[in-house]
Order: sequence, then structure tokens, then C-alpha cells
Amino acid sequence: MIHKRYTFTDKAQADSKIEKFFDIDEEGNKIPNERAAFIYLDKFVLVKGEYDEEGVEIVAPTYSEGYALDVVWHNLEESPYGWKSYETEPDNPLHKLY
Amino acid sequence: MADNLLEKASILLTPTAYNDGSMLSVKPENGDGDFTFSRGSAATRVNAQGLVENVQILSSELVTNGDFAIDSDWNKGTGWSIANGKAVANTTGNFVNLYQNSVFVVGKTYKTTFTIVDYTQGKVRLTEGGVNVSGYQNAVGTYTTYFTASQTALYMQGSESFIGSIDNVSVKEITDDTDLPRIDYTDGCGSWLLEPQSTNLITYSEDISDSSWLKTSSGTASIPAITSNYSISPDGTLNASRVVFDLNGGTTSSDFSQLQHNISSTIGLSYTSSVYMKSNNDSTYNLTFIPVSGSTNIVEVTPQWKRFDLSAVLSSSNMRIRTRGSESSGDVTDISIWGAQIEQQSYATSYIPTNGAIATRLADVANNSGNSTLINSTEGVLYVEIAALADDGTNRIFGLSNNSNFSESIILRYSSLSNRISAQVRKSGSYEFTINYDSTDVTAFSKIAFKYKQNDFALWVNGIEVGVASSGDVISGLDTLGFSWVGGNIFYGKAKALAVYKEALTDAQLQSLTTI
Repeated sequence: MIHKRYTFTDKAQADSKIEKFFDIDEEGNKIPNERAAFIYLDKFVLVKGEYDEEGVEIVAPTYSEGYALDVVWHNLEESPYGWKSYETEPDNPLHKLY
Repeated sequence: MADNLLEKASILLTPTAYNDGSMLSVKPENGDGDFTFSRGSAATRVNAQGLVENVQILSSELVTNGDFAIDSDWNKGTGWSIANGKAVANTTGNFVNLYQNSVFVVGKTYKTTFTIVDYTQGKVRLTEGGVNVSGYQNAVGTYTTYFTASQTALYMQGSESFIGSIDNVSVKEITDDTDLPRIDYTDGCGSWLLEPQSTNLITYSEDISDSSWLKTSSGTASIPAITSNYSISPDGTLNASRVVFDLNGGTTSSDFSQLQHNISSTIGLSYTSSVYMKSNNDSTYNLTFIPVSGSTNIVEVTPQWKRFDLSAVLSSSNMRIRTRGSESSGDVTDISIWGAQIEQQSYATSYIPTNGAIATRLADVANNSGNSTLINSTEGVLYVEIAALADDGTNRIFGLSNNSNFSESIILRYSSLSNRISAQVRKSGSYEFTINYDSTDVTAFSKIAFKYKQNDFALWVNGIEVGVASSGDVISGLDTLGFSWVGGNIFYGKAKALAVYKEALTDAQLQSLTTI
């Protein structure tokens, strides 16, 4: 089992990569063809926003760029073909496996 | 009679025993009925004592003389002594150590615990070779920390002229916590807990003093006053935060005292916000709990810990807890808070602790019980006592199959239709029939039996035959029982019992077996 971190341009690109690991059964259900846990992280807050007393945003937070996705590949020893170039290794990852 | 019937089963699983990577069947005892289990991450449960705990296998004690029974084994800095079954500090200045070398191995993960039994002044912490582990503590209490070692020595380190005494210093290696099944006692009675993957989006789920928790006020009110490590939390240790909301006599909507936690998330999806709260005295308080929908909910916080959870479609990207003059709040509200969680789910799953980063618990997977000797293809009964985690509009399927092939299977499912339980036989990828039963509440435990035999199928729920099918084929080659083998429709829920019979039981037997 390996835990890898990736950054894609946007969610659509991430979804298109993930899609290849699912088949559609006769009921229309998505059936995984590789045991993997896709953790959709989107963006991380790098600089906190500012909010008024009611919790309404005054200054928007600064988010990380791209679309962050963590994946646990249960049966692979390295990223599958086509994923390697999107790997990232942040110094201070803001997500972890419990 | 039901007990005798359970003895008649060829495979019987109850929430009694497990190993790393397997749920052990009661019958047979040779391992052929055991489920292989995996998750790939740690997870918590409510144990038999009602405490929230991380499931884990711990090593033996790694600290020698951690109870200070004798004056040996510890290296004592100036001001430290050992007497009367405790380590006594009467130190001056900072970083004065009581230590043992070679306790940790770099890269391994540990659970550490120590107790401050007397306290006068200063502060003390547990470190690995001087690198902080526990954080400084300055009050009587027991402190538990989990961490991965980067140094080898264990230091109990006093600072600011620490004067006090400590006891029961403990270090145990966590040898496994990633593939341990969970027997959960949330309902007071043990059941296997199988949950989906979920991420706690709150970065500090226990440390309310962290700046990620915004503390605000308006009008006459004060910002919430936080005291860390104030009360015993639902995990049994002194790590719950005290929060005092004070309106200072304010009675209008302009007067409020508020805690707020923002998350990065997606508008329009369902999220569940949850948090444990209790009153710090005999009073019961009304306060406002606002999940990510932004809707206000008045909740009653009593002297007993309770996990409050609210599910809603996200619209505001934050969770708030507050008192407000116009929202039934008292003037001063004195409560403890612990274990906050926001997850992209339509219901609350088990608690996922965080400390500086959001964290994900992976999905539970339990499969591969049985073989063709234990499972009869031509007739039999699949019996379960189960409850759904939620009536959430998803299909959750489990049952018997030919080598985990969904196209050749005998299945029970919680349907995507509200509160529906279905029994089905699939042959060559097509359904022979479907028997549907609409329950009043799938989150309540039900005893369910599915009898299968050529042209003789029946579904029993809680002592009643709720449906039959008098035509249909059986499946050849049934040899596997599993919870998690149907691709995107894995079974998530709670199970108190699961049994397989190699013969079609009589109606009287099925009624007895399924009667609550």
C-alpha cells in the first residue's frame, strides 16, 4: 500500500484520471477495477481569511493552486502510468491518513 | 430455540474476536469462516466502557520503573528525586530533565502517557531527546500523546522552575492500527462497525485554543474564554477544552459570543458537523450550533457528554457554536468541548482526531469468508442482525457469491430507495427475482433471514415473512461470503450476527431465528 499526493490543473483533469479506474456495471454503478482510495482535497487554505462577527467573509483566504488529490493505492508499489508527473511532496502536508 | 439454531449454522460470525487483518468466525473454528479485513488507516470506536479510543495493538511497556516504585533506572537532573512512588520535581530554571536513554526507535509510532499528581508551579512536558511530544502541561491530570519518534531518549522535562510530581510514565509502541476491525459499543451493545472513507476537515479537532478556531463577539458579549486540558474528555483523558461564553447581560441579537471553524469545501454537497459537548456544572445550557448550512439550531448541553451532529447541504463553509441574546441563551454558558468534526457525509461517522492537518480514515473492507464446503449452492439460509449507518440513498450489498462474482450471487441489500431492504438472486448477470421490504427505520437493528431453494425463496424480517418468490433458480458454485465485494456498492453498517445455513430452514425456525 502506498500513499501518494498529486496536484492536477483542476477537478476535471483529476476526474478524468480517476475515471479510468472504474467500470460501469449493468445497473450503471461505478465498479472500481483497482483498489484505491481517492481523497478529494481540492484546495488547502494557505492564508486564513478574515470574517466578521457573523462569520461572513471579509477577506478571502488564499488557497493552494491546482486541485489536490491524495490517493492510497492498496495494491501498487508506485504511481500508475500517467500519474507520476503529477506527484507532489509538500514539506508540510495539510492532510494525512489517520 | 434461536440459540440452538445458531449452533446449527455452518458459518457464524458474532462481534467477539479479531486479529490484525481478520474478523474471526465463531463457527467453524478452523479459520475457514474468518473474514479477511483491511482498512489501511487507523480508526476509532466507542469501547465497552463507553470511551472513544483508537483501535490499536500496543507493545509491552517500554519504560522501566515508570511507576517510580523504586529509586532506580532514571537519570535525574538537578531538583528531580524519586520517593514515595512518584518522581518529585523541585527544579530551578528551564529544561531540567528526568530521563531514560534508548526508549524510542526512530521511525516507530508510540503512545505515551504520564500523570501530574501534584502541581505547585512551572510546567513539564514529555519529550524525545528534548524534542517536544506532549506539549507543556501545568495542571494535575493524565496526558496522552501519539507520535512517531525522531529521537531515542525519553525526557520528562521541567521548565519555568517546575515544582510538582509525576507518576505512571508509560511508552508503548503502536505495532498495528491500520487493519484492525472494530467492535463498537455506541449503542451499548457490541457490533462490528464497517464504515466508508471519510475525512475530518477540521485541522484541530481537540485543541480549541488553536487560532484555526476563530473567537469572536459582538455587542456586550465577551469573546469565548478557552482553557485547554480542563476536563476529562470522552476518550478518558484530561484533554477537553473549557469554553465560557459570556453575554455580560446582553439580550439582543447584537449580543453574541462565538466559536467558528472554517473549512475549504464544495458548495452544494452534503456535510455533517459534529462535536462533543457537556456542561461544566450542574446546569443545562441552551446554545446555538450552526453547521455548514448556516442554519441555527438550539441544542441543550447537559452535564453528560453528548455528541451533537447536524447534517446539511453546505452553503457557508463554516461551523459555529455560540450564545446569543436572542437565541434562548443564558448569560454565562460554561461548557467543555472536544472532538469536533466536519465531513463530507450525510451522517456522522466515527470520530477522526486531528492535530494540525485534516485527516482521512479509509474504508473498512471485509470479505472472503467460507468455502464450498460451508456454503450450499442448492439450498440454505443467509441470516444477519444488522443496522444501516444511515438511510442515505445508496445501495449497500452483501451476501454469498461464486468467488465474489456479483453476476452469480445471493444478496441482501439496503436499497437506494428509502428504508428498503431487498433480497435478490443474480444468475448470469440477471436478477432471478427481487423481494422488497420497506422497513420503518433501517438504522435500527433488524434480524433478517433470506431462504434460498429452487422455486422456494423467502425473506424474513424480525419474525415475519415479508415476501416470497416461488419461481427462480439457485446459483451453482457458491463459495464466498463477504460484506465488501460488490464494487461501488460495498456494505457499510453495523452487524451483531451473521450466519449461513446449509439447508432451507422451516418457517417455524426462520420465525424463531428472526424474532427480536
